[in-house]
Amino acid sequence: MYVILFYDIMGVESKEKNNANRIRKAVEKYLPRVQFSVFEGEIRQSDFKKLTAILQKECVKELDSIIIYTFNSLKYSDRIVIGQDKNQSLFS
Amino acid sequence: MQKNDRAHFILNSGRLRRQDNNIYFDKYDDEMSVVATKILPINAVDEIYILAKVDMDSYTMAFLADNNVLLHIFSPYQSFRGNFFPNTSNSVNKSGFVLLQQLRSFDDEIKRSYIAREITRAHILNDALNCKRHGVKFDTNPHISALEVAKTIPEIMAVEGSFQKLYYEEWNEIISNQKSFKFTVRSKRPPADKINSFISYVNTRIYNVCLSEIYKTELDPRIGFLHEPNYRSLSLHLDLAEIFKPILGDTLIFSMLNKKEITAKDFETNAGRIKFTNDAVQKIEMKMISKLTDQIEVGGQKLTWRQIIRREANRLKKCICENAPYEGFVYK
Repeated sequence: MYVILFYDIMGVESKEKNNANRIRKAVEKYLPRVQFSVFEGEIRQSDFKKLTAILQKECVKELDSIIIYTFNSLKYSDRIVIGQDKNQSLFS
Repeated sequence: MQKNDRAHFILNSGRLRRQDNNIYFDKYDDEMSVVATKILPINAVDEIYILAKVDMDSYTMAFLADNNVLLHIFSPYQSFRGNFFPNTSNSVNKSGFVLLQQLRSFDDEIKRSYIAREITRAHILNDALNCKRHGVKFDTNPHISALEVAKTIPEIMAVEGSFQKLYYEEWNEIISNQKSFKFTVRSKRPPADKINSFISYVNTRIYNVCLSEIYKTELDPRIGFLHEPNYRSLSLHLDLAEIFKPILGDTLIFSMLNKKEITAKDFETNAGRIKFTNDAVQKIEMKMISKLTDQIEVGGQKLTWRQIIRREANRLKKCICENAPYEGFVYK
């Protein structure tokens, strides 16, 4: 299963709870980071369930927004990178 | 788009460290100062291949062990140094019964040679199919009949050795770039020419994949059947790799050389030793991973190559424990 996830987390000023760090750390454990708030990569179905459960809990529903695209097959897709490809998820 | 095999390769020197219950990799430059930091998602990684000089502390290793991440460590010349197999309660699922049965079948001369013969038979047939696919005629009948006569392990090894020599001679007909990749003789430790070092690198990778699949079953990788377990600490994965080397490794070498994806420029020579550049390693690994994540249909099921290797290990276990007939995997 291939996943593209991006989020927008409100700053600390507009709410009492600062959960940006907690959400970031949770996602970083499952997906490689491509850009500042964009993650993409292969994930297992079971891991995906765990991750969404954590995000459901941490997210402040009125302010934050997290969008996830999931793909079962990458047959009709193509990934084009212009400039730096920060996500060399296989090599470092 | 790339598919991941849940493996990660470290090609630059740096430092692996644990932070926030996650693995961070700090890349060093020549003066050992940090240039870039990267986060490896711990839940999306099963194996880490270290092909460079990497600093690590026991705290990180304990964390890797808790998450069942297997570490494979290589020398600067890309030969295998060893691996770190996590010893945690959920990774050690070895049963004493299987170990005892494995020892008994190893001591049982008839059973041991039966398993060894089946492995060699599958190896020969897979090699011959490779030749056939590239339009080279190869007659396996004398080898197969010699194999059926062979009683002891040295005899089987002799059949395999003589076959392997003839098989490697056919390589000159398959590989079109004869100028820099002419095959003369197989040499190891260290490989003498470019084609030998390519073979060694790809084979090492397949050994490691087989080893990590064996660790997932209950078999003990220390006791091999075809290869004598005396000299090295682990040998069962060498047996298993015999079957898959022609299918995964040799086809990869042929296609990469014939499509000119690997040329003489991709090698570095230093004091008589040959190694790949980092770019070449990336190219080979991308190919290897796409190969390993390929699905083919076996027995009505769609399986990836990794799963087929595990299935083979489990069939070996069934043969060892329940005396089920074992037949080596032949790719049709």
